[in-house]
Amino acid sequence: MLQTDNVSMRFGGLNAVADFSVTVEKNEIVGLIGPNGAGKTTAFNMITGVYTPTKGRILFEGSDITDLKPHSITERGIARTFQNIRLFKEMTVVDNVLTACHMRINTNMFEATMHLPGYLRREKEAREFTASLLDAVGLSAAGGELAVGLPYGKQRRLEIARALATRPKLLLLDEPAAGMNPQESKDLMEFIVRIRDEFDLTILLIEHHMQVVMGICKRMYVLDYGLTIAHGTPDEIRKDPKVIEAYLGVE
Amino acid sequence: MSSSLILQNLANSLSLGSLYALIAIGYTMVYGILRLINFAHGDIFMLGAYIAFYAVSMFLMPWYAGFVVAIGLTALFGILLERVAYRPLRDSPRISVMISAIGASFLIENLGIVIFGGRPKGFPVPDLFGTVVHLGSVSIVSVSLFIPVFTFAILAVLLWIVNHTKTGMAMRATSTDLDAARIMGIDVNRVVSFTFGVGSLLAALGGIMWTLKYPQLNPLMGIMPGLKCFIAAVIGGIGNIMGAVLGGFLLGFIEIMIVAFLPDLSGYRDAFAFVLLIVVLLVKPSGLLGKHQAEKV
Amino acid sequence: MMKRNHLYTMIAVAIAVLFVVYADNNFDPFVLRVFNLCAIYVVLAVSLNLVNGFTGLFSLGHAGFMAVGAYVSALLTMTPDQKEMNFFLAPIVPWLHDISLPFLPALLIAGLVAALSGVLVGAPVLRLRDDYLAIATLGFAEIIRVVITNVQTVTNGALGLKGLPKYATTFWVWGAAAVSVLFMVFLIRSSYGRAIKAVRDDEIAAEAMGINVFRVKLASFTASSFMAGVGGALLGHVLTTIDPKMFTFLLTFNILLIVVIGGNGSITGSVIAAIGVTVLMELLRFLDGPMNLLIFKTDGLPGLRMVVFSIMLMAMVIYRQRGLMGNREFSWQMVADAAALPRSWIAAVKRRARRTGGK
Repeated sequence: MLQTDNVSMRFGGLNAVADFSVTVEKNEIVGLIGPNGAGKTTAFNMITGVYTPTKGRILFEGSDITDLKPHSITERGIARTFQNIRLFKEMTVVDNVLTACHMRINTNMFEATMHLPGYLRREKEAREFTASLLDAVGLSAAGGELAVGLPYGKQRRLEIARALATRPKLLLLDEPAAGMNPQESKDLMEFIVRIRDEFDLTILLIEHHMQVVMGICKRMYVLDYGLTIAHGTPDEIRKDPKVIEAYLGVE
Repeated sequence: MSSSLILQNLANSLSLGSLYALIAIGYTMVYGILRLINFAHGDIFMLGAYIAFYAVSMFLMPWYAGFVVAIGLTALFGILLERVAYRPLRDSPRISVMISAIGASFLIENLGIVIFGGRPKGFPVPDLFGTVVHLGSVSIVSVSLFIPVFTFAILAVLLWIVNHTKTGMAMRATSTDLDAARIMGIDVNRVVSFTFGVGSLLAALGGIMWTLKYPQLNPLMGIMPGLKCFIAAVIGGIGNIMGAVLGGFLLGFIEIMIVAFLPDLSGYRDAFAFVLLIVVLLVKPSGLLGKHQAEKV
Repeated sequence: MMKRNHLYTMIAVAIAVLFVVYADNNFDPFVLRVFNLCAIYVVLAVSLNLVNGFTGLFSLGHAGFMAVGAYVSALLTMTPDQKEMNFFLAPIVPWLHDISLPFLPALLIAGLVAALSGVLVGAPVLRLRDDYLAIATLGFAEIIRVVITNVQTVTNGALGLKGLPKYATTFWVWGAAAVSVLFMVFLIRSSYGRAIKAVRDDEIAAEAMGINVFRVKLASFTASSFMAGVGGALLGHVLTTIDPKMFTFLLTFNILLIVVIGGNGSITGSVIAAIGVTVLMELLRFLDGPMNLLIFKTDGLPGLRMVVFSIMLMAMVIYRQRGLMGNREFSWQMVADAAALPRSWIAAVKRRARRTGGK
């Protein structure tokens, strides 16, 4: 479903990510792990079009999306969350999710302002979809609150609901468990598996702590200083000397 | 086209350009430290010229004393302006500070109209600056010879301050990251005040030179030079002192040359700067000597 | 509850309409002119708020688009005779000489031409951010003004145009204000309005949610330019004289002042502030004239009025950054809450009295 060929990103003299090649198959949950500053988020930014890679190609469902703008990539079916939560702070929870429906409502300024029938029908569908999404992430009760007022954990779940509202095929989650305690992250992982099944998703997941994702990823890639130092099953990763070195330093 | 005409225009653009450069440095220094377009900079320029005018014509000071007093008072005014209008907004969105700056600009202009009167005043130019000098085929008012000399002397002093003194180091640190500089024990408020002081001092000097060159004062005289010099700073790469100088010269050169060689367009003179600004912003938004900064996601 | 609010709204609209009719028939010409200027400033403030408050773009180019609108409408409506009287330095270009349209088409064309210039300006500069965008839009407004001053055979240059038909009656201007406000309310409540606010809140997140940020910005900028053009045209037909000096940065400053005072991102705030500031500008006109204070006499201090407004803008942004309304909008609930305030104060006073009395 997703394939990157030797994708690289240079900032000035710094190789943020070099020769990054991953493949993700349909309905897989794949982990992308590595220490801080390893280039994980940069990899996400290239896949979602925030950065254009300095080298390499990105294929999604067989077509080249390397040079597309972020909104076109979202339109093709890739959605994401952000490491440092980027909700629309001044909007309510419901409006955050509805905003992500905008693309599928597919309207223009004139039609929307005039509240023409076609637009009203799609708006109504979007509201129903939003309600079901908020229900799925357990935020139905908080619909009218401002996003900025939610506690941290709920903000993360709202970000996931918002990403789902774009009706993605591939979901990229950037450290969804950051700042959570072990029990919370365990619950979150179960939740991720559940939405994968419920929404027929494929998921690529960034995580800083290996243990958190070991349980749900069949395969994972390990980045360190921009280089892919290992990939394989959780067991293989756990034993890989390069990974141990990257995480623990050289003795 | 005769070579003497070309030389004449080159001399003119050299003096106009260095005047622009002088004022642009003030913009660029403030922007470098606070990321703020000091909309009132052009009005501080006007203030400097008026204080010099009153010092010389009302308090009958000798011109050099009057100029020093004007430059000193204007620098103090710049520091005061930052305290009152910008410091309370240090942690606010940039747009809020900019709105405050726009307010400050209109305030100074209209206070100028109230206090100095709206009618233009003639500036008594001292003989030293007002005589016409002939250099071969080129004739030029003597002040136009002084301006580039002043500009380059000041540039040298400023670069020395920024690169070789402790205050300069604090300025560079504050400009890189204001919060980090504060944590490292730098008295950020002092650095900002110093910057505004120096910027306003240069604006005052620019204002005085401007009136020596075009000896007429009015309270709105700062608007156009202010905007143009800001543009010069952007063209050169805002935040960069050498860039401001480069931008100033470039703008002065283009203005003089277009008016000289394409006289049909002289009515559009005030628009050149804006056209140039937009072209530069679209082609190289960080300016000729500026560094590009990527946004962190 | 819903039904009752509808009823309230209908009553309020009826009262507003009756007031406009009353004003048109009974106000003396000077007061009526100020009253009509209020409506025009509503149009202008709401349109600037669309860009600055809702979309989060800081544009300072409003005066430029107003100038475009004002000139287009003036040239389309003036009679050939009027044009000949105005263009005595150089004759007007032939293709404009004989055009003389009714008001409505002229007004719409004025808006469309302003919108078109909005697209032309916006397409290149809307990629810029914050202060760069501000200075670039300001630059374009100045360029438009310089061009208008220089194309003598089309705009009559620095002389300006005199004797515009006085089409902008009370009903026209308040009608335009009502349409603008309604347009904004419906726009902001729609999916497109959410997209606009999302762009303001977080461009990168908006883009990641599939919103074409550039297109949204351009659409908002264009709509705003359209309204600015219509506002400029109305202004021309109220004042009946226009010249390039009218459309300087000062005009943009006045509108910015209104938007900031009313609250960035509040239509209600813009409407209230537009009326308040316009009235205040007229009321404070005495400041510029001669004054006889008890202690000293002045011969008129032009500029003093603007001093007041500059301080007002600075004070607002320093002490109450969110403006009068913040980003809230009018609702009947708000009225009910406000009405309940005195009662709750009385209750609080009583409670305290009882407590101290019980001791």
